[in-house]
Amino acid sequence: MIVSDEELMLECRKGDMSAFELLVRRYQDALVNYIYYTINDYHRAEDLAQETFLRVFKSASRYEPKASFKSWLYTIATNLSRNEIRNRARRNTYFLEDMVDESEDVYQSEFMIDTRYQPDLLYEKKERQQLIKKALKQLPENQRLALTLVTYQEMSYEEIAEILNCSIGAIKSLIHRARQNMKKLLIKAGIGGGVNAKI
Amino acid sequence: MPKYKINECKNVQTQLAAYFDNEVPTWKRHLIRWHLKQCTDCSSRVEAIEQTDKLLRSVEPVKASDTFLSTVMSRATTMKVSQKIHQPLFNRLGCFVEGLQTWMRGNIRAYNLVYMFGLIFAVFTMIGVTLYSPRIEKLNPFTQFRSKSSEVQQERLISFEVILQEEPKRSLKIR
Repeated sequence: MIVSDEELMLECRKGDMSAFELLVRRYQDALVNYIYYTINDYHRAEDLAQETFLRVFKSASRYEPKASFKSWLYTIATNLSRNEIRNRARRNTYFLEDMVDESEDVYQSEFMIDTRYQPDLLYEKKERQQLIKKALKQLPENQRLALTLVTYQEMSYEEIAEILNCSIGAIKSLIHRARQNMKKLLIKAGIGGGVNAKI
Repeated sequence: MPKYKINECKNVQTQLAAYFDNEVPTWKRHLIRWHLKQCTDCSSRVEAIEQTDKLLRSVEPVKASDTFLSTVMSRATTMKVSQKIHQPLFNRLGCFVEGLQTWMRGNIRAYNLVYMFGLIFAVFTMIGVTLYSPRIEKLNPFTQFRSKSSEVQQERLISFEVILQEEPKRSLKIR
């Protein structure tokens, strides 16, 4: 039997650490992935994901299962990511991944194994992934968040509206514009063009 | 292209992203699908959306490191211990009351005998107190003093009420 997130959170409120552990296990990869696509820095994304879970744990005693747990978790993560982006812009700092263009440590093992077979194809794939990430990074903050949530987290528009604190209509147009801009950026980067260039 | 066709295309194009994400109602979905069969411009736009989505999904997802879970759990445990140590008495009392409330919510149901008995007892007590309210004066040991003081006050009031008749300073003389 699969226990729902809300039930686990209620158990966590009573002080059950194993329920909290199960919640972390469920969402750790998705959350790190989401924050990573938002701020484009793996190590900082892990830190922020940890901070998100700790905030959830801290406010577990006040938790009421009114809204879905997932939306609540992603709202906290979104707020932390937004703060990070603003702080970075204020301090005018750049992360190593922004400058080097590649996060070697994340893909290194996979790259090492497959290099023997098709190095040129792998390099091409990696290059394309970097270009896509770069294009995603160039989108406005809200568009990037909405597009990441709908594409990588496969959330409904209602959930996204709850997380970004907008109406569903606003989310519809936000995602529409995000896809249009993304297409333009990908064409500019040399990928995603061709016959279907109009969007 | 006729004008009504352009308007239709404009309307459909704003809905295409939602159509692609399966976020439009069924009736609208059928209408859009019907339009797409006829309009090559709009159907190529859907293809473009599909292509962009495919490219976005081709990016390999990152995973949390192996130490992630253990770090979070150890930090949470530390936080829990420090919270317990630094929690003021008032907060602890609040937690106890909250726990009691949740226990009551979980264990006391409408058809529970203890609950029913308690409820009936409370209702009858309230009715009894309302109809046959006990005389507080009899129960209160200070009522004697209170009554004396009230008498004094009454006396005072009476003394104030007495109006002394004075003789008029000037009297009219009738010839």
